Amino acid sequence: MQGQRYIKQLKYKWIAIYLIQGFAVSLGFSLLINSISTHFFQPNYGIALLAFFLAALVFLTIRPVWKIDDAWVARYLDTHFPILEDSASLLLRNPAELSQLAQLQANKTLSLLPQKETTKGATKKVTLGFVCLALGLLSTFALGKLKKIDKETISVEHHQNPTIAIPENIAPQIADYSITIQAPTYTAKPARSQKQFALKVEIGGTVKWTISTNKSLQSFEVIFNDKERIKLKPTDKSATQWNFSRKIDKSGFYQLEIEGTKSDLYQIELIPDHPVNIKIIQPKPQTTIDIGQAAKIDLSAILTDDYGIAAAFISATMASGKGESVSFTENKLSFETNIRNQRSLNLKKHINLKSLGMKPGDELYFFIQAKDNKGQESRSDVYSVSIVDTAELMSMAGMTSGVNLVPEYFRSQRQIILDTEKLLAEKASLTQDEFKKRSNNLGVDQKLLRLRYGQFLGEENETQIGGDDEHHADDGHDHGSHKKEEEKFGDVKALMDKYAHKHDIAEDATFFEPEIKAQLKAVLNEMWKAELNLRTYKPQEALPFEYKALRLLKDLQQKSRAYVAKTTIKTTALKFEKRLTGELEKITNPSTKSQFELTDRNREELKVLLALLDLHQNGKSFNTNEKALLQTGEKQIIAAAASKPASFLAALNSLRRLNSQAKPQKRDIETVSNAIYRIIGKAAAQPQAKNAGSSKQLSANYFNNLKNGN
Amino acid sequence: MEMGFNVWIIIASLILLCSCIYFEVKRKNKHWLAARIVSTILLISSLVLMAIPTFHQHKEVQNKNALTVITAGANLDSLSKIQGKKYYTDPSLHQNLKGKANYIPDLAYHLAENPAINSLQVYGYGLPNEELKKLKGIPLNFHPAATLSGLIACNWNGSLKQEEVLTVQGFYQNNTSKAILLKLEGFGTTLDSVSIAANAHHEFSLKHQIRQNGKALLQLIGLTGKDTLTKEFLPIQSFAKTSVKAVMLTSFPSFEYKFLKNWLYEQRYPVAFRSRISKDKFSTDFLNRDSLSLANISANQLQKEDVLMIDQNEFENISSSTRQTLMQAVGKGLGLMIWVDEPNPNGALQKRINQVENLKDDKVLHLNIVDKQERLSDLSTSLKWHLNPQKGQQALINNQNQTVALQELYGLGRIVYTTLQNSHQWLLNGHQEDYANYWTALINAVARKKHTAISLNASDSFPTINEKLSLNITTEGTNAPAVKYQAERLTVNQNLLYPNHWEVQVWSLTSGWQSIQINKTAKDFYVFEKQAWKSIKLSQTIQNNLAYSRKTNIEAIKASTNEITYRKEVSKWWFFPILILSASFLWFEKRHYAKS
Repeated sequence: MQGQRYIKQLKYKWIAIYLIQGFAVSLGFSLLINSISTHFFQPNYGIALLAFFLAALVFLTIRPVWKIDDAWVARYLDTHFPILEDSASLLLRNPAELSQLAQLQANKTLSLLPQKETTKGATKKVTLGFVCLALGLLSTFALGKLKKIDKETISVEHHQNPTIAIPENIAPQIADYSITIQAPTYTAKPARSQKQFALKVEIGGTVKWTISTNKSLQSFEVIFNDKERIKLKPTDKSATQWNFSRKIDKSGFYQLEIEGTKSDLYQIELIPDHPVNIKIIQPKPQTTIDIGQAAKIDLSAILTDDYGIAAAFISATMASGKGESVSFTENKLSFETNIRNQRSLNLKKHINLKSLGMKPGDELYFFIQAKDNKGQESRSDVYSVSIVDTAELMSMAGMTSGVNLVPEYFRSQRQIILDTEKLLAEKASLTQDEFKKRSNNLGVDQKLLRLRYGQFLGEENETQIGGDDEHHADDGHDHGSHKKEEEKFGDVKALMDKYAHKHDIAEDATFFEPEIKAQLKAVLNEMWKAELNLRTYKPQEALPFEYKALRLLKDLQQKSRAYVAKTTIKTTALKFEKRLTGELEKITNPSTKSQFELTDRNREELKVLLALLDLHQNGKSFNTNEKALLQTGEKQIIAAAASKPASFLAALNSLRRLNSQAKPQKRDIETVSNAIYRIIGKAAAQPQAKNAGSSKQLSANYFNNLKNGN
Repeated sequence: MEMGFNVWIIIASLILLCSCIYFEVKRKNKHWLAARIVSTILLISSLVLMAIPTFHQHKEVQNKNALTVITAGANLDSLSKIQGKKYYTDPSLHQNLKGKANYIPDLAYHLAENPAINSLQVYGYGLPNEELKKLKGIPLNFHPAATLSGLIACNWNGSLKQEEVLTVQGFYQNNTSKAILLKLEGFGTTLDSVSIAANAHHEFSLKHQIRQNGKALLQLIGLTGKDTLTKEFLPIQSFAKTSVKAVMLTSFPSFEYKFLKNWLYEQRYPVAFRSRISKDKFSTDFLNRDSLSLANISANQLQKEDVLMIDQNEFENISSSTRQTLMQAVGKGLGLMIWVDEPNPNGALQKRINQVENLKDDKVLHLNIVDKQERLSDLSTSLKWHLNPQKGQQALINNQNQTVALQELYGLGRIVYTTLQNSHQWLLNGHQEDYANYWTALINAVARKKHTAISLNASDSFPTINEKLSLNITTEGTNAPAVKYQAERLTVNQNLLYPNHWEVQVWSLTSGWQSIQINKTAKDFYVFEKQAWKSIKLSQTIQNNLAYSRKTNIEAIKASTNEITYRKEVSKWWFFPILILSASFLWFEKRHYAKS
């Protein structure tokens, strides 16, 4: 029994070992497959699952685990431990069935059963399984990481060098070179090196050239923009190692001069750093807070910058007071958001005007100021918020002086407001019916007021505002047709009068300008709304409309006045003896004479050069005079290339080739022509005399004959 | 004689035939007798027919007095539908028309030889102009070829002044099913382009402001996708601009005058400016020129000026004698520009113009230059008056439908009236270009025309290499100019009507820019390659032929068609096989009989 138990234990051990190995191998395999497939194709976990089962199946067919039974273990023991003398299987048998000898042998075997190394080779198998697993994991990590790097590098490359890929001619003396571009620190960009002389540098960046030559050089110079020469010193004794660096803050071009031989021109392009772009989404540039509205604004803005925003705040100026006693207080409001060099910020700020100390009638001017991490400042437009002053509306100041178009009605509107406020204040002490009645009465007052204003617009009936409605027989005025006049037969006019609506056209009856009319209409509109609310017993809602109507009326009143400041002039004393004599002898005729000096003749020269280049399209070579003209053109192109190397450097190269080569190439001529054409630019039209025929005399004679003949 | 020969042959062969038949009949065996006799008859008769020429009748419908001429471009497949005999005159058609039509080396000679021909039927692109001239009025019925695809017409102002605008206009016939991009190229860039719709006859107009000073060769390129369909050269020349001498007389200082004066000054035009301060008191400015007396304006002085600008007030202020002097100067070619104000019933201007009060509320002017069809940017100012064009007056500047400025002829000169007093607003608003365009339009309309000493014109719009070219020269005087071309002195022909017009003829052996010396001044003209502007030349040929056929009025002559019978000789070779076959039958019969 002891022996059978031993064998069973061993069996389970082996099964476990094989299962672990199989699982590890399958898992490793499936991870490997998965990582490869996700690296090259889209991630698909089905493939991993399939790989796992496939591997497991293969493993199980090679090593069928279910076949591990007691007999297998006995065989295993027999083969691996000779000491058992091939008798392990005896232990499996029922001892009762065994012969004497067999029993003896079984007992002997039992005592000899090995306790150590029963699972010899298992470590190897398990290790193999884990190696497989490790391989799978490794590949997953490695390939996943690779992909990420790939993505990053693609995005970095895309971000940095979208254009530069021009093949360059490099002097034969140069054995090796490398250019390191260090963007300014605030950009947080790492240094990058390139094997290309054409540069694209962030403004303020430092560029370091490291050049090694294949022989020692006598001289090595760098020429910037064809003006600035820098003589380089070798860093080693054999004069083969050269380096120099330069801070780039303007675009242009440069070339290397090795022992007197000039290289191609290489462009330096700048990547500018723009100041922070501020976009205010809310509120509108001008906000008026009417009575009844909450005295607060919600500010929302988007800020963007190339490299990072260092600071942003709201600069608010409050103007309070009137006339000459206006006082200003400045406030700096900060945003709650933490600003830490973000490239774009979405800022929000709730400004409570009351807490800023704003009273009705005050105005708030504000703008957002921001600073990027280079230190460039920018600010938004100025926005303003004003709180309407109700007290101002109530004041009598405007009415006591100045032109008063319609004085009596203003009081009424104000009276309605006062009454409405009184009604609201007394609301608690009033019965429901009483409240409704008074509200309705106020509505009636408002209506009467509206109708009186309507008269200014020529409105006569109460149905509509500003509308020109149907005319009814009971309009309340006389129509010709009502009178029982005797109709004269054949009186066309009388007949027409019968059907025509003939009295003054309402719109023309008033003496207001259209602008004033429009505003009056707006007043009526507000009154309409106030009336509506009063009539429906909602005086609280009516109040804003009443105020607005009053405000508009006030504006209307102000409009009819103009203010001209008084000025003081010192006049020379009049000579009364000369006054009104009409003598002008002593007055001289003033006369000026001037000549416009054309300082810039370059344009004219370029125009001639443009025509000259066109004549050489067929490959005719330039003579000495023409080459001199090319030289003047070169100066212009150098100036243009220094500011815009990307568009004019090629032309400069071509122009130099034209100067040096005996036979001009068509392509070079076209490039240079194009550049000169662009430099000349569009000109405004200029008056020109037209051409007449050649013979003055003949046409004059002809003309005179024609004139005299008539 | 020949008749006799034929008779003798017939008699001899009849005798031969009779004797042969006799021998055949007399033969002992009667094997295949009938066949033998038949083949003998065939043998002899074919022998006779080989000796005597035979003819057959051939009928053809032919315009009795008409000649059918095929020219290039005719549809070769439909040639067979054309009845009658066909001819061609262009030796380059040899390849295609060999055997189908007859070649006439010289049409004029052929016509002289056949005086019966009194009309021509021409198919294809038509006869060249030289041949048309030689037809001497023989009516021509033209059947033009299908319309060409390509440039049908093209013209441009080849000699311009600085800053002028080159306008290339023409027609493009696009028979392809794709849109064509027509580009004006030069100086290594595209100057202007237009798209020609598929299957359309399209009018095009391309513009380019001159930037070079001198000669230049532009290109007109037609593209579909990347295929170049047309590529033609446009030679242009630009000359220095002609200056305009201006005098301004104003009755009061105004920004309008001040800005105009300064603008002209900065453009380097000579300007004399006089502004009235008080009675007989003036403030004067002399810009880019020497000073002169402006208090009294003399006729002599005005003769030297090109434009005189004056406001209505000043025009009415100046003495009537000065005004008369002024108008006389205008009659002799001086340009007069008047700023018009409100109507003055007693004023000197009243009978010339008709002001209409502007009642529009619109405070913004939408001006455009009438003859250039060019919109100027909006000008926010109120216009009090506009003008009502009278008889003989032409609108220059319009504000929508109202005329703001107009011009009229006055003798040799012109007068321009404008009611716009606020053009300087353009300058203040930064629309320098519109200000320049407005004043250029007004000044160009009136400025005294300049006489050129020598002018050169080619009679042909596309002078071609290796072809005769006649050049028309106009000179100031009536002395024959000395003309030199390629170091050779040329003789000039004086025009019969105009004593200062001359004609010279040159044969240019090279293409490209050519220089000709006229009285020691060099003038340039351009000679094209043979193939240049081919489509235009062909369409020109079609037009010439159509014009010629219209002129000669083919309907007048009744095209009488009748049948003509031709006698055609039958080839002798037809009888030879009969001879051989019948002879060999007789021989074979003998052998066959001997065997059996």
